[in-house]
Amino acid sequence: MTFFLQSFQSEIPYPAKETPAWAAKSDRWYQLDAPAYSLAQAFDLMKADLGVKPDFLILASPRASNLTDRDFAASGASSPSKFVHTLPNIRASSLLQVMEWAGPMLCVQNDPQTIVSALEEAFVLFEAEEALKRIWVVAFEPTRARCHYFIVTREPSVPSALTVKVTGSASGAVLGAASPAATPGVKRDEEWLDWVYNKPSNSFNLSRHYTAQFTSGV
Amino acid sequence: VISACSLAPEAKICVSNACASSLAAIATAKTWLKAKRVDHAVIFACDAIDSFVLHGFHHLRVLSPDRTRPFAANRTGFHLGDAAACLILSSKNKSADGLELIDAQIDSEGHAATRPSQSGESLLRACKNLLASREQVTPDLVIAHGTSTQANDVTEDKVFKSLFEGSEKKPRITGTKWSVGHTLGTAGLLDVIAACEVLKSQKVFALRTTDGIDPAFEGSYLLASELQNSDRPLKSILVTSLGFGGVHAAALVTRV
Repeated sequence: MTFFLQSFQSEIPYPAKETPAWAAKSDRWYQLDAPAYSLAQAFDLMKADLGVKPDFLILASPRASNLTDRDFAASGASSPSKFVHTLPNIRASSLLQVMEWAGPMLCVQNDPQTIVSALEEAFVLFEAEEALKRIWVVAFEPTRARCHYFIVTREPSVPSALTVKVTGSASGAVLGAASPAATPGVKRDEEWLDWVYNKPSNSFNLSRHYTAQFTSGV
Repeated sequence: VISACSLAPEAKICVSNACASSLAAIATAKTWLKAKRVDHAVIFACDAIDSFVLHGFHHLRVLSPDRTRPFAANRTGFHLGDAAACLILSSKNKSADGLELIDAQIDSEGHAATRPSQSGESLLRACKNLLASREQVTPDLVIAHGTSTQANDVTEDKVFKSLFEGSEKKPRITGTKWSVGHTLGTAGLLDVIAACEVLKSQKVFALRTTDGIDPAFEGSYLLASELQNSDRPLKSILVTSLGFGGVHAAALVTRV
């Protein structure tokens, strides 16, 4: 099975220096933490490129909400607006408001390969649910304040899309010994993002099931 | 526990859909089973009360000063509960008790960070998608999220009204939080396990702390004063979960 993948990224300065264009759509935008504000702002900046909205959205949260958790605890654990952001999925609430979208959404964490796992989840969803045509995998990378939007589709949408192919057998094969593609301690998300944006090689082994390859259009 | 298991990294994942996390994890496991990626899936859920969580919910003003009374006119919020739960789903080994998880559906709405929309549109969509493939659309019982907060219970009642409008016999609605408290991300898994026990025993439990239903509500809630024997054979139970950030989910459990 072959899937197609487009990637977009945006670095968002935080805190905001001015009221964002989407302020009226959001529930108290000025109380948003860095991931929540950045994901909404990135969507607004990139919405023309992102195009058609998804059938399913996966939010990948590397390092979960650790920074906000620390901030909440350090401030005396008394701010309700900070407390709600100690749930990693809350950052999607403002994004959904700005996107003006509602639908199935899954929030995942699997460090050090949270983004890679979220992408694999999208591929598994495609294998299980024929009706799905377009899945977005959205992530905020806290170490670089970067937002990533990956659009996974069954059909190629632009010449520059990456091609992701299934490799290996499907049934039950992931159980057992650790995958050679995911040695403990290796920062899989960092490797993946480096590969996507810097293209150090032609292919990337996402997991034992999926290999990403750049198409000739890149 | 999960780290100690010799699983490949791609065979485990942490789902963070707030208080709908358990049902979202079940939906994820069902997807993996349906795609034949795994033959068995183990779902762990755990939530412990610590000062971080306690302070947070205290300042949100959702903690009850006395008791959790789901769907009651005099409801005042909930008390928190500690819990750990585990569920095994298998596409190969049938349950010895004939239990089957039909499906779980997740949905979301960007209404607000802590409040569901009043109409509960995303929970309603999840429930409708879940029941749409069934011949018998109406379940025999509902184990509701029922947090006993003003906002949650209003939304759930509206969802149940829309969902079962036109049904010949509306299902009875109960919940577990009056007993075990709100166990947050574990709540859905506890409720699915409770649904399995009800299906096995054919005995239902009432909302034991709820003496009088909110007069604005229309659902058929099981009150403290009611008997615990069902008025019909229990074959299917709907479980609902609502989460902060507008992430909601539903699961359907049956006994064949």
